[in-house]
Amino acid sequence: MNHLSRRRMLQLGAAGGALLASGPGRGRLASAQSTPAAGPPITVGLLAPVTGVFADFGDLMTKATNLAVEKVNAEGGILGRPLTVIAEDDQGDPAIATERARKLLVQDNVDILMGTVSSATTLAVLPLVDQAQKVFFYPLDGEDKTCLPGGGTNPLVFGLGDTPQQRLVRFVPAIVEQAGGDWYFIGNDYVFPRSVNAVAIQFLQEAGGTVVAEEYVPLGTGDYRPVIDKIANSGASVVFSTTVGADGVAFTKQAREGGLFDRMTVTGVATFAPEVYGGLQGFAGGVLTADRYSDQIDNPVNAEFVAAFREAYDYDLPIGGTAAACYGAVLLWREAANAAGSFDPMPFAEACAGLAMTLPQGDVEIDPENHLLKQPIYLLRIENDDYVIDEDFGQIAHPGHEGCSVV
Amino acid sequence: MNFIGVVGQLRLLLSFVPDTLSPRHPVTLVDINTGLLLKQLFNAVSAVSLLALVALGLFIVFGMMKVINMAHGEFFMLGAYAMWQLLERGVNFWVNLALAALAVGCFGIVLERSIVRRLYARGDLSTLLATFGLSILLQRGVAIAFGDRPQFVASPISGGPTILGNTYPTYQVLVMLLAMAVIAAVLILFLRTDFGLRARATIVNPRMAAALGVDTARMNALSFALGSALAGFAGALAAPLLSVVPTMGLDWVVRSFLVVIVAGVGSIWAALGGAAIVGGWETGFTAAYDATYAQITVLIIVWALVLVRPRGLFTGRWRRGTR
Amino acid sequence: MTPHAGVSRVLSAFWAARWAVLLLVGLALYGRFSDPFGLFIVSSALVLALLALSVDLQWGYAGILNLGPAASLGLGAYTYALVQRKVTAGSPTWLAFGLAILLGVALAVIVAFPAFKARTLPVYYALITLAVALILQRWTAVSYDLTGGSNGITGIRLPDFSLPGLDLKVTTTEQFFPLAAGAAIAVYLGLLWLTRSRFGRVMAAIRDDEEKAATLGYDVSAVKLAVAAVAGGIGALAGALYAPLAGTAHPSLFGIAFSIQAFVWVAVGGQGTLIGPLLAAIALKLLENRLRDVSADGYVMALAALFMLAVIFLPRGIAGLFSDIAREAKSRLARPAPSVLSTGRERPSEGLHG
Repeated sequence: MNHLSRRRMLQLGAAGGALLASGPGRGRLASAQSTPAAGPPITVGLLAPVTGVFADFGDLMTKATNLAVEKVNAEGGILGRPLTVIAEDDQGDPAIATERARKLLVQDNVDILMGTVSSATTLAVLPLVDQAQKVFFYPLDGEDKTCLPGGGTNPLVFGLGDTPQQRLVRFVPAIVEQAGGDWYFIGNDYVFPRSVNAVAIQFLQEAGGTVVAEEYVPLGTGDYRPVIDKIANSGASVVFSTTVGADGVAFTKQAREGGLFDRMTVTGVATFAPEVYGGLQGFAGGVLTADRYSDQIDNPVNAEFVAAFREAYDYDLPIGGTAAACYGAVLLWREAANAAGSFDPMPFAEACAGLAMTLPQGDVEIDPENHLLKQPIYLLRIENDDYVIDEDFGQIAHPGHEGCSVV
Repeated sequence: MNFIGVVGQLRLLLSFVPDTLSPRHPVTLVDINTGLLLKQLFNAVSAVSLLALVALGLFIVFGMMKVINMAHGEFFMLGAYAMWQLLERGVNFWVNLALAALAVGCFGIVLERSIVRRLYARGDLSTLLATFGLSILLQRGVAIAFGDRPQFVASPISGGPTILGNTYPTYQVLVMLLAMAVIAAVLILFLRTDFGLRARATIVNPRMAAALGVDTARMNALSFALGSALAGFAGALAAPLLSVVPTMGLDWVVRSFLVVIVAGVGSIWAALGGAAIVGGWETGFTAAYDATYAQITVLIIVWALVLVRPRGLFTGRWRRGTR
Repeated sequence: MTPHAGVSRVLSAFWAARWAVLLLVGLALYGRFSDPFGLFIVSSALVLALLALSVDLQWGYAGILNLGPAASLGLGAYTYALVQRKVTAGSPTWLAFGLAILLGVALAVIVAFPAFKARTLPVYYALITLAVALILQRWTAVSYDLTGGSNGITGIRLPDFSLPGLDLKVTTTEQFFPLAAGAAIAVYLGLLWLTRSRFGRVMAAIRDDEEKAATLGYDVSAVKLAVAAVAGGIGALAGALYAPLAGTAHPSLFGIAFSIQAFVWVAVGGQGTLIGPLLAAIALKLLENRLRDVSADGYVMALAALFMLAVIFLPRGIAGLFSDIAREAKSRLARPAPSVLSTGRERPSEGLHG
């Protein structure tokens, strides 16, 4: 099977190459021309959880990818070939993710795979990507997953989200300076909050702060009041929350009602993500958070993205980093394919490493050392239903493969 | 205080659990004070009253028809969604509480007449499975209609008095009082009215009740409607406190089952006792130590209770056998 | 024994196993003509059908409602993954399978023994088993060092049944297909034999009337315990096969979704028929693969509705419906194991009442 699909892929690649040699528009010209793309399509496998607990993320991923694909196709496609998206729903469940990823990789034989939201699904898909020898982009933030178990960088895997190290290295000292160094850590009990907190605690201690407590609550808990009152009476000056999704909304509501916001600074990541803002709304007013993206970022790529996204989907909530990353990914692919002159996995992946350009979130570069995106991180303040930029920490790189979660 | 002594013992016991399960920086209890204890007591009573309200609905249906309604949590969810939808349409919050209870109650009657009724005669565990299917149907139906994202429901009253340094949100106090009032009303209905007499007769011995002229079919429909309405009311009442998502019922149905298991099908007071044990333990243990352990231990406790008292903790006489 | 009787016994054994033969032929044809992904889908259907068979044995034959059958699925998967990774890395996986089945049996006994001894109400037993599955799911999700927590264990290698001098290593998912088919048919035949044996008739008696069976001198709790143990072992085998097929083990294997799926297959296929759940697993899994692209939520809803309808109107599923029709038309060869009580009724007309 491997042989067959590989041969077929090479044929497709060769066809693409031939087309490229004869077709018009190499390099940057391709993006400027407006003739519709022709030739065999490049198939993009999109593994997005459009149902289940991560449905909002999956929905935004799908919308942003389709938007970017439409744009790129209207501008002549990639190497003269149009893009088509085959979307599959992984429901945020590793068992379904492996099945659907297998379908995309084996049955649909896609040229490139993008997607997954939860770390568990990303990690479950990685061995399949290796087996099929396809390029894989994951757009969500979280621990480093581009590494190999034995060390080194997986040549075919790219992470577009920021790692906790990137997001927190400047943010934690900034909050310590603003609000004090006695931190209470509260998160849902699974790997992501624990690894974010491990990193945050390291930066906190480096900034001279202390950990008052670190506490985890099972996902799906409705009543956070006993925990909130513990926090309120702990003497901490900052509470750093990594409660996620519906849990994060419940935590924020009850913390606001219970007066926690009046007694200390409430901050965190994931809890206050723009993707869940619909449930938070006024409850999150005034909160400081760190993120890789805000729809308030001022650059032409972002202006075009935000305007097109709002118009295409009649969307009036804040747009988050997930959508921006998927939109940016398609633009990155076009750039890399033009540089490589091919969409074959290896030359394409090699061209991706080291690629630098401007995306909605600002100036980025795919770090050739670890295949993670060097990108700007922002200190954001939630104000009047907007994620206003308080401070631009500038482009931050992830150090090597620190905190690699592929085992 | 005795409470602190117990907590100390528990913490000592749990320190032997492998480190992988425990956070690296556990919560210290140095600053336990009267204000916090009082507030946590309030949290416990508030949690117990809301849980009792939901569990009472399940208890009535189970006691009356010996039907385990796995979709009970979804009735709670439907109540919360009714509240959200009506608020979106500008209907008054307090009116919505009644409307949500009414709507979910009517929905309960329809379900009882169309589906559940067909399963009494079978008498096996099919009802449990059929309502299991129903719960998924309702949950995914709501997800298709409104999406899986949390919906926004604000409290009708914000703020509240501060006592000994802790805020007691007025709305949460009201939720607690309203829940207690409705529970009291249900108790009166069951213990002081003609309907209650017939209902209790049906619970104790349906055949005898039927022979004595109780219209058991009507009793079943009415009590199913009452059980559903209680869940719907609780869902609407709790909507401003919780995340309104399609899966929100799961937590409540699981804990309501624990209550019914602990209580057994004896008297209606047993349901309140069960709620106090389950809700009190969870809140107390979370307050004193850790939420993950609180949930795991409550499951283990209920498991052990079922083995020791297979017919429930509060049932005086056990009836051997199942029929 | 006369030669005639011998021949007739062989013939009737063949007749009893006719479905297995048909299934084997069908699967062989499918394996010959399907694409690799189709083989993967049918392989996972066959592996998870083992869990459905364990549910059918408990619910359909012995009247025991275990609402958390996925507990054994997850346990088997994690046991396989951990043993293969930490103990027998690179060597044959006999130990992983053996230990998985052993632990599956052990878990079932630990849960069932005290409950059956205490004569727990069937409803409470159902909820206990659900709670046990929830406890295990929660525990694996937070037990970071041992089970990898919520991320689970990935990169689980395919099984290796090599013996000294015999290389039997599964290296591709296509090679897994015959293994899955073999396991499903073997377990099916094993359960067919079990349910038609004397033990099977005692099981049916307990299902129909536990009190009466006890009065007649059968050790009800021992029989139910044996059923739970066998089912636990089969569930764990399903998990040990599923982990390498999917390549991952993670807490959701203990979750409600897998338990429900098994119940849907049993209810739709027909409880107490064995072949029904097996065929329903393949049919519904293939259907799911087609419909998932349309709407995952819609598919789940349709399945839930089908499940409800099956429970309410077709207590013995589609297979039961067909066998009822067949019985009307033809001989009594297709009848299920009669109860030793010969009460003449299929199901008790009442259960929890009174």
